[in-house]
Amino acid sequence: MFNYSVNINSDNSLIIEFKGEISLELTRFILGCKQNIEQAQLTGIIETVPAYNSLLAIFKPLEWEPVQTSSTIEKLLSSAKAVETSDSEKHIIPVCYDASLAPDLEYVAQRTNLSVKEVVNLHTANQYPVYMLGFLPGFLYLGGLNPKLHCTRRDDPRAKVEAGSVAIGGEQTGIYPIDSPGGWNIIGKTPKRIFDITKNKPAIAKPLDTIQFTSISLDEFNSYEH
Amino acid sequence: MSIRVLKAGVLSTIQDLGRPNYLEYGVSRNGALDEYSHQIANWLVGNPKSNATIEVTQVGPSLEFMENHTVAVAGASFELTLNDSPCPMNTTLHLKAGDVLTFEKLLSGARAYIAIAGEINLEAVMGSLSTNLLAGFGGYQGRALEDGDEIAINSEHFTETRVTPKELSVEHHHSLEQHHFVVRFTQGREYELLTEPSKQSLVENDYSVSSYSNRMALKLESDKDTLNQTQELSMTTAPIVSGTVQLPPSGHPIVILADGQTTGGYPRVGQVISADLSLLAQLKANDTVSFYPVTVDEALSALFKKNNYFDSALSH
Repeated sequence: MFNYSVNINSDNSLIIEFKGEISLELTRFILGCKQNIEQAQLTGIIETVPAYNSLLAIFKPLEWEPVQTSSTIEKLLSSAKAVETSDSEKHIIPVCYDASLAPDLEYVAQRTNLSVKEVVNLHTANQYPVYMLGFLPGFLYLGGLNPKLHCTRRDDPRAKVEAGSVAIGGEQTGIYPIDSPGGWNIIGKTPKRIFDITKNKPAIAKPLDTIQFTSISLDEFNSYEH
Repeated sequence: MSIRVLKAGVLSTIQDLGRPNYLEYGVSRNGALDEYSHQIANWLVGNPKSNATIEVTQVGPSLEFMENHTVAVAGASFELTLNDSPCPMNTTLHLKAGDVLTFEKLLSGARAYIAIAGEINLEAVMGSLSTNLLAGFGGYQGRALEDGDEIAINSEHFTETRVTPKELSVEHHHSLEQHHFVVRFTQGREYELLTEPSKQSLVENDYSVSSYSNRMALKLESDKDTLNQTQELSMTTAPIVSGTVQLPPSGHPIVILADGQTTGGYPRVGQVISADLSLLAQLKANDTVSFYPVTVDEALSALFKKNNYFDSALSH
């Protein structure tokens, strides 16, 4: 169990803030709270948005009563349980680490005192759990990066990083789901579509899923079919 | 039935009332930034307020109507011409095939809305026609309109001629011509982290709008001082909503708008109230804004009043 507080965040939202370190256990509990709130079909509710240690609930402003809704949610949460991970999926993401698609791979190797091959081996060895989505459409906040691969962000962010670029920023690794400006070190690229507007759920993964990267050649990258 | 874009203007996008339910996938809500002007434009042509309009930004388009269409423009004050003759905003325009409607000089405000009787014939993405410029989907091919585009319309006949009730534009755009807005805000989750002088500054300063502002966020600056926190808080990334006033390390506040990121890691010092979000849409570079503190209850009664006022003024 985790301690939390229910707070009015704005005239159309409230935010539940959870105490304690960020952990998968906490994420499981936050998703349990999200389930309880969704199942209650509260008047005026639009959607809920989970994050590392908070959960936002958005309402139609004229259809909710903030104080009353807060206390209803307090009650709902008293029976909240961590969700099981039985419907969590593992996603294998093919990544080409060829220098032509990995402008910062050499730099990351230098900074981390590893060879390029070691960087790739370490990056593909771990399974990365999804904690939350946000920042960009379909962007996954992943945990589990080997501390040996931690590498500070670029001093001058690129104006455009292409969709599919796989990167390391500080203590995190991630995949750029769409073309966007970015300051992370690009160490490879996946040919797989990460954000897909034709899907009912447009992101490739959900919280508590895991991501594993697998190395592919430039030929495999170029002949990849969606 | 279609409209040909002769000149697209600086940022003309298809927008409706937005794309809820996808924040947990990192997809922002999008939609008309000034929902009230969007609503007025739709009313002038007999459309429900949920229909998509064309949102025009500062430099408007020139559009050729290929068939007879009923059209209206509401929002920021522009000089309009119809086939080179002056033409009013805020009234129903019954156009003939071949008519050219052109946005000339912007007089005040920043964004106007063009409604066409009927529906813009585009495919909804995730339940909305709104353009998501960041990821390039929705609206017209996921982008702002460009010269030469043709927009298909499922046209409706609308024979009435309506005029925006005078009191409505006064109510909504009371200070458009002063280039200064007062927007009301409630305290954000990290408001208490502000130093006492910064709490004062937040409500006393006039903030000028930086030219780097866009549909994602308004960047504000005060030449008097920056806002400071009592302690550097290491924030964990948390969800944010339209109207969140964030405080980055620069000390210059940023207000999140409909295309803004869904999560953020800067302290949230305030939340612009729902009733005033559409005022933010009418700010452009060098306009100024100041913040007036209210409670959540006051925020909700302001919204209730404003919506009622609109609904009754636009009831017939």
